This record gives sequence, structure tokens and C-alpha cells, in this order.
Amino acid sequence: MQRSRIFGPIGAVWFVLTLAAIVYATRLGLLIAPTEATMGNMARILYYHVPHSMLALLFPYVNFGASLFYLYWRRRDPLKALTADAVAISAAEITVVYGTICLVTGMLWGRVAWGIWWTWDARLTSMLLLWLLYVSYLMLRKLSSTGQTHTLAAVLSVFAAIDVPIVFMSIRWWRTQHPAPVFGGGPDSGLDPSMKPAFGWNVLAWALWGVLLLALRYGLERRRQEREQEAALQAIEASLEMAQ
Amino acid sequence: MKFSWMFGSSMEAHHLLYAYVAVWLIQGGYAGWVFSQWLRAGKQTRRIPGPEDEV
Repeated sequence: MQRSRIFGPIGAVWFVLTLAAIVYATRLGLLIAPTEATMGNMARILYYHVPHSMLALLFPYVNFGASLFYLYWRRRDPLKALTADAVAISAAEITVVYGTICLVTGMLWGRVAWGIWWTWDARLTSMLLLWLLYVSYLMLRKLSSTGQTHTLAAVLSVFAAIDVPIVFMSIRWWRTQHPAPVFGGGPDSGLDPSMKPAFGWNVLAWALWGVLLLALRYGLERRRQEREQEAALQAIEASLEMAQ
Repeated sequence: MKFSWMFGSSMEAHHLLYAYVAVWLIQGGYAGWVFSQWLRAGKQTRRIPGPEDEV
């Protein structure tokens, strides 16, 4: 049966719950959470910045895993490889979306907190590099016209994933401009209990939203693959008719 | 208003507002693009004949 609706019943429930969670989390971050002692209201940006940054480091692993499956299946089972490829491109786009938000909100915060939009700090630079790697992944897929594009993109994704642990560890390995880690950063690190609900709800809400986007984008890519298969089928049919 | 500080004239207030609006614009823009592509793809997709179609 052809899939014509964008949401099934589970998707519709997921969408409504996600929107409700985003509204609730935003309300907690903007109105309920206490004003931070040193940064003031600017700290409220971090309720959006940190969850998006965390998720920008998780979706690359979805892309990485799917790319490995693609490389494994591309000759053994091309249909499974196409499924893995659809997951890979969806995760790469969502990585770029979350990474863009991480960089934009970080710069808006930095301009007020540090007085500068940007600095070549280890965390900022490695995050920018990660974003550029996934933008180049998408550009490769969009612009390359060779028959090996999907394989090249999968190999690039494996290399891009190497940057993820570097971004994560950068504020532990090098102490430069970016604030020290709040979680697991030592005895003085941690979040005040009064801020935890706003932070936790924002992580949950934006993770639910990311999974929803991933599912929608995957469905779209599968449709595109079907359309390409259909075009190939029509070309074969036409060539057979000409041969007869 | 309880969140009137968000619409103040300081750089802090402006940047906080820009950050939240930027997130909604980027996320909403991407979701809107996926939705529009879905609608376009739906119009163009025809089911591929399979073995079950052979009589």
C-alpha cells in the first residue's frame, strides 16, 4: 500500500507529545528556572544550547552506524543498504540542524558573556569542524554524480565520526575559553537542583523532536529511493520496447 | 508581565530573544522543508509493480 499520510497514529501522538514537551520545557527555561547568580538571565540560553549541543554529538553516531551498515550491505544486500543509506542521510541533516543551533546560540551567549562572537577555542573549533564535515557530507551527496557517491559519503561519515569524541573531550583535554564541563567535570561541577527540571525537560523535548525529524526525513528519503527505482524501471521498460 | 525582561533594551535581553527565536526558526524551517518535500514526493510517487502484479 502506498504511504500517503505523513503521520500514522503513533507519529501523530508522538508529534503532539513532542510539541507539548517543547512548550513545557521552554516555559521552564524562560519563566520557572531561577535566574543564574553570575550570568543572570543570559544563562537561560543554555537551556536550549546545551541540549542541542548534546544531541549534535549523538546524531553523528546514528549516521556513523548506518554508514557502516551501508558499507557492509552494499554488495551483500542492496535493499538493506538502501535502508541504511536513508537513515544515514537523515541523521547527517539533523546533525547539521542541531550543530547550527549549537553554534548560533553559543555565539549569541558568548557575545554577552565574553564580549566576543567567536574565539578559536578548542571546543568551538572542533565543533565548527564537525559541522563543516557534515555539511561537506551533504554537499558531496547533493553535487557528486558518480555511481560511487553513496559509498564515498559513507566513508566520509566514518572519518567525520572521529571528530565527535574530540569535541566531547576538548573541554577536558584543553582548558581554554569555553566553560568547563558541568556534568562529570570534577568535584565543583554540577547543576543546581533548581535548574535540573528545565534542563532535563529541554533535553527530553529536543531529543523527541530530533527522533521525529529523523523518522520523517527517513520516510521522505525512502520515497525518493522508490521514485528513482521507478525511473530506472521505466528506462528498462522503454529500452526493452525499443529492442522488440 | 512576568517575562518582560526578555523584551528589554539591553544586549542581554536581545540576545536571549534572538537565541530562542533562532532555534524555533531553524527547527521549524527544517521541519517545514521536510513536510513540503513529503507533499511533493507524494504527488510524484507511483507504486512500483512487483511480482504480485504478474497474472
